[in-house]
Amino acid sequence: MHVELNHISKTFGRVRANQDITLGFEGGRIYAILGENGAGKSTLMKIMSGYQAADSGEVVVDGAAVDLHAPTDAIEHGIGMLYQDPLDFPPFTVLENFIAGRPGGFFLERHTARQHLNALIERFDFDLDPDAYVDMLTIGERQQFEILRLLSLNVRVLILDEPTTGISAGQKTALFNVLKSLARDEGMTIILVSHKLEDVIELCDEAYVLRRGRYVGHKNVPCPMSELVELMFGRVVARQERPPVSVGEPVLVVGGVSVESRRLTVDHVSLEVHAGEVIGLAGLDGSGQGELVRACTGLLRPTAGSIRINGQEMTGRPYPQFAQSGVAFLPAGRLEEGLIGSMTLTQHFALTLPTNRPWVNWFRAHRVTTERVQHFNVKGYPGSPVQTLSGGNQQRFALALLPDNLRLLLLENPTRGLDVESALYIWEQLLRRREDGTAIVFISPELDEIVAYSDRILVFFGGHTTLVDDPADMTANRLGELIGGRM
Amino acid sequence: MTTPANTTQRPASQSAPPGGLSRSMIWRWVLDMLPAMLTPFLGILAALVIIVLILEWQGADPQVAWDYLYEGTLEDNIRRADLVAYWMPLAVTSLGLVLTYTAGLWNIGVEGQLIMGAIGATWAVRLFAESDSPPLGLDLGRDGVLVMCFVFAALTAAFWALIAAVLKTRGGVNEIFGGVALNFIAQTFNMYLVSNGGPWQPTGSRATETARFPENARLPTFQDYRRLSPTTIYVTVGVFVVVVLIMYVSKWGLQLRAMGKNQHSAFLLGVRTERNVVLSMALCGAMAGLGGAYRVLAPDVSKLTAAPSGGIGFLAILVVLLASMSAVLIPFVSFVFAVLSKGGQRIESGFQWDYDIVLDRSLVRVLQSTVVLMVVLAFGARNRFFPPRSAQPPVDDDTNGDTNDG
Repeated sequence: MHVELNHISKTFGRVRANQDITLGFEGGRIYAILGENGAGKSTLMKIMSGYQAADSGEVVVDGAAVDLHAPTDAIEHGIGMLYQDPLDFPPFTVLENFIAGRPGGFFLERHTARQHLNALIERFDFDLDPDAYVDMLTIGERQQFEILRLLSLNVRVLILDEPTTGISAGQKTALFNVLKSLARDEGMTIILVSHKLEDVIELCDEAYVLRRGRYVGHKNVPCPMSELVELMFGRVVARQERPPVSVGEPVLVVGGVSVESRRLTVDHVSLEVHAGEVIGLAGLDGSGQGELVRACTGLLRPTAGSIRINGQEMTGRPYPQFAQSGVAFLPAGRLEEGLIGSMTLTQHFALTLPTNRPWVNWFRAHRVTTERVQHFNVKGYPGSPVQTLSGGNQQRFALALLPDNLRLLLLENPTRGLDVESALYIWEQLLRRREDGTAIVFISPELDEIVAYSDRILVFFGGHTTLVDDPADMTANRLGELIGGRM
Repeated sequence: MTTPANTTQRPASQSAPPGGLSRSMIWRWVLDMLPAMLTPFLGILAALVIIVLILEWQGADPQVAWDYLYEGTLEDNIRRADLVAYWMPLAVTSLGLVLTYTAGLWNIGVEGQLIMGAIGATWAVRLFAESDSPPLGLDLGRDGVLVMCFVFAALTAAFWALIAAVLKTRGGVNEIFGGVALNFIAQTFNMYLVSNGGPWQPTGSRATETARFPENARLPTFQDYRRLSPTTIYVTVGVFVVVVLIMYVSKWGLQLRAMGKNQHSAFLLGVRTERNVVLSMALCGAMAGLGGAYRVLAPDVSKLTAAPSGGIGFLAILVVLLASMSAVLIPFVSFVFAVLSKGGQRIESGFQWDYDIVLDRSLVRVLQSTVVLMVVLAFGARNRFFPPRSAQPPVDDDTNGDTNDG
């Protein structure tokens, strides 16, 4: 079976997730779709599996363009996808889930379904109990089940989205063995969506690399990891020279903190952040950076360890107390958490300006808004709703909204979706705050950004952290390898 | 939006960077607002068409029905007084709901809160005014007793609302589910009090209601209209002023708005969302409780009946939805609903007596619900065909830079 993607484009608002991507897949081979977060891998695969429609372009199966309006359409054409989050019903048993996803008549036909399922389990030597409840299974077992389910629907192209996140090493080996045998012995096409170079090199025959929504290159695997890294991240920018800032007393002390993320637990993170320091948190999306930052603002309770701000024990305290101690947090989703889309700039200031009076001083709010908006170069009127601003201006406005004299500023993807110029401006503002003794901790999927601006880097991989003390001789390449799990 | 924010921002826009407040901007603003302003009228028009069709189908002349509607509500002073007596509890309850609905809290429990207010007022009457021996031995006089009635009503209803609020903030129970359950409990509790030898049913009585309240627990009335008390009007006007101040002047009102639009962002911007959920629910409960007190203390009622609310709580929810949570619109919208309710009763009885046409009792409710349904539908249609800016996906930059920048 031969599947082609022809000139696929897809935009979300003004974000171009996929731009004119053309790829081909042969039977019997294992492909990797490689790219950093936001490169457009998942979007492309969701289009291929019928989960969402492309704006333009076509999916061609064995020479004929097919219309895919829903995942069931794709499965009918033999294309099945294993999503990052297993699509099963946890309160049901394995068998019940198996039946739920099967086309069939009104009756359940438990008996035939059970025979079918047992045959599949035996064939792949999986350790699955048809009567076990799905919520008792591990992520790895749920994946195994999902694969069996797709195979039972006669899928010939199997897409796996980040399948190795959250499963054990043993389960990973078992999974890879099954995938290899499916390709070699059954002539199936396997497509692995990943940003983990290790996995790609271990499993795949070929790799397609995407960057910022575009197809940038193809490699036959195995090949040197650095070649893949270069394709993924583009040219590697040298670290910029910055005037050294004298580092003050510790502002944030994280002592042996454990946080639980959606899929993995990050254990015993220890970190000391001093006034005026910039710490970059690097890692694949969902490696626990977001959780650590939220624990440092009181939005998430760590399962162990202690967090001290300005020498004061703050573990388990609520967010407003962190805010009072001079901690501010800017989350990644500007309009989802952080700003209120339909409220105006002035209303935002009216809401956040500290005051002891019960009424709003609209004149003061307006004056402050005008000042700050000018100072931070936000292009918008005080009366404009925030959602009418462009992304860069929203981010600038979010920074303008922060009080002066912060002790600690935590940022999640501070330049997400911004063009180079806007990003530079944001960093100029951030580094200026550093001179007032504000410590900055930021998460970024852009390795260049991390290398360029961090004094120290905390790398997250597989539930563990590695502290890089001197990023001067750290390149984005080396960092990419670190976050991909190669020490 | 009718916030003072907009008025204070006028001069601002003029001094703003190039362009300022040009004619084309005003024109665009008007075009933006036009669908919003026309929507309710289109909804009401559609509702009228449906109502006329229903009446025709029932064999009743819509023209005659219209005359009955007028006759039953506005024709003479007595009718008008009755109308106001019905309007006040509806308005005060709706005003309370403005607070919770603005904050994004669907306080369905308002019906139960109103009932608890009625019970609270009755409780105060029993404590401070029952003729023979006031249990507490206090003699507050009529004014004192009435003040206690309002205070008790507000407090019991606020307590009832607090249960829903705490269930939400601490127990993670959606206020809608909590409210539905608490409504049911309040109704049942009320029934227990006044029926089948319940503790508040007079001994020997078989009617499901308390005895008539003593003289010193009756609201003062107008000289000419014995069924209308000026007190309820004063209290409602006071509540109206308070709610308008909260919504348009206070910082707390702004916080409620922010919460209603995006609770998580509001929290990160420093709004104490949990506290505000509890506070707005309690305040709304207190206002609904006042509505309940009006209902039992009404001069022509003056007792706790089996159904003290008469569905006013649920009606208030429709009022707030129709007024799209605007405090200043509440008096008008609640007035329209009061007219529909009282006039609807007259339509029904009029057709029965004069034409021997039996209309179903629920026709009144059908009329009211049709209005709300059609107006909400009109809003939905507008959002679909003329999406307001807020409904459009957020604009995000890509590598090509921001075209929004001037």
